[in-house]
Amino acid sequence: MLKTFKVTMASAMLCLSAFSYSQVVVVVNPANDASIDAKTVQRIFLGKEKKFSNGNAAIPINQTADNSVRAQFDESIVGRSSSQVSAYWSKLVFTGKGVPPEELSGDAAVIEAIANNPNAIGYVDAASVTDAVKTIPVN
Amino acid sequence: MRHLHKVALATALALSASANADVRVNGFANLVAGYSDTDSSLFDYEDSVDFSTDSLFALQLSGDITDKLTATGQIVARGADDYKADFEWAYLTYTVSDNLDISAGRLRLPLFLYSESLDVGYSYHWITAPNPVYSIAFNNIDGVKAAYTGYAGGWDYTLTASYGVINTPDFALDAGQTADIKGDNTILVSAEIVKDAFRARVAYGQAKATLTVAAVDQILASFAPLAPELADSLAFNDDTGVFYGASIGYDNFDWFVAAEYTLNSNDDTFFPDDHAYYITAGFRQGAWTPSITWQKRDGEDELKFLDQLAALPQPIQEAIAPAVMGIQMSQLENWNNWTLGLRYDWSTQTALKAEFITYEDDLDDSNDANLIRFAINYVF
Repeated sequence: MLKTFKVTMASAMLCLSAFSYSQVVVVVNPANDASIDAKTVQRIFLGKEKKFSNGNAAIPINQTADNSVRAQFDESIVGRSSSQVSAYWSKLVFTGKGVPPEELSGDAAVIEAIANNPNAIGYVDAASVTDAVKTIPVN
Repeated sequence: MRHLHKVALATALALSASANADVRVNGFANLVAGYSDTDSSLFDYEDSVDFSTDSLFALQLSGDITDKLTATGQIVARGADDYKADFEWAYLTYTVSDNLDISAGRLRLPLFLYSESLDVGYSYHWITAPNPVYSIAFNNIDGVKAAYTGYAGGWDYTLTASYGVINTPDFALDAGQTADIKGDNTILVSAEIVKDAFRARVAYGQAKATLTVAAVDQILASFAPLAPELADSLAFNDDTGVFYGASIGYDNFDWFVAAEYTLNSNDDTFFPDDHAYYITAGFRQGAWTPSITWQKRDGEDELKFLDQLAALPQPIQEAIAPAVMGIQMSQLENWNNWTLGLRYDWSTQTALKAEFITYEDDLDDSNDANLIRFAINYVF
């Protein structure tokens, strides 16, 4: 009985954590035919990769720190806390080595920017996705 | 030269402003308070609370003149200089390709792992980068720098080559002396590789260096008529200074460990070889980053030119030996310190830090002291 309870608890927690991570999805313009995996997204958002696999320029669109999807993206895809990502960028900015991704506030603004730019890549809450963008499975 | 930079930069920024009105403004600030229990001074802190020694405010302007050409200027006001604002960096960067950048102007010499973000406290876990390695007199260069970056087999790599002139007036040495330092024909090459959590870096540099300390020059001049060759050997005048640096680190974002070693060698001068190194480790727990660092400066060299001294006639030897040895001994140093640090990420723009440093002087234990510092680091 106790064992069953434990298993149930464990699977419930797994579902919960899977749920909280599945909320953030990476989105690109529907015209973007590049192959993109989690590593590529990470490299693009850390400024290490400036082009997609098809040779087109990659323009990352970030969300401002007050959107909870930002922290989820930083932790699940980039693999660091938002403060660490910010420290990483401060190093590049003040050495003239890079310009951090443009920040927009809210899923609607990100979707609009990506729908209007075939080179843009961003992330939003799964519930916000519309036909104007294509989701990339990276988890 | 400095004025030339300012004019060039202002022109470049004005050009870029009129071209596409896209000037990026970023800034950072470190506000540091410290107190040392020393009778004299430790890293410029004394036994009263000090807010200015390591505090600074900086503003960076950069603008794209064309899609290949960027102008960058960094204005820094340091508490140690009475918050006098100065253009510490002013350079143009030309993007030759996705992999190759060439910059020209006044720029940071990439000697160390943290050289280029040395002043940006928010970018690292200490309040200031380890003093034995990082407190050197030739951080900036007037010249050119090429940087090549690439990615192969999961490794990111960066190669740099720099050439130019170093000019540091009034650099504070120990014992209240100041030195004017010049480095002509300075070259520096570096290579860095990064893969996932692992990174390693090496650097080599050299310069035709001149280091002028008024008191030393006076002593050298006093016995130069008696022993011209020896005085010339001791003088730090157009002599080759060589720099070696190596660092290695592992950071998986839950915990990190890193070590860095540098050697400054100035053979034909009164200055000793300086070895400096540190080892640091810490971990991240939510917004907290506790860390520990051991740092060491070993500039305790054997006295040089004693054979030249011995070859001189006895009366001259006796007359000048104290000066020959004294000049060299005044520059010897051998010390280490432990630093316990705590960083708290207040936001993606602000970090709060506290540090306790215990300093041990292996040549003179009356200099042993402790230092406590608190800092607020801000970036925008």
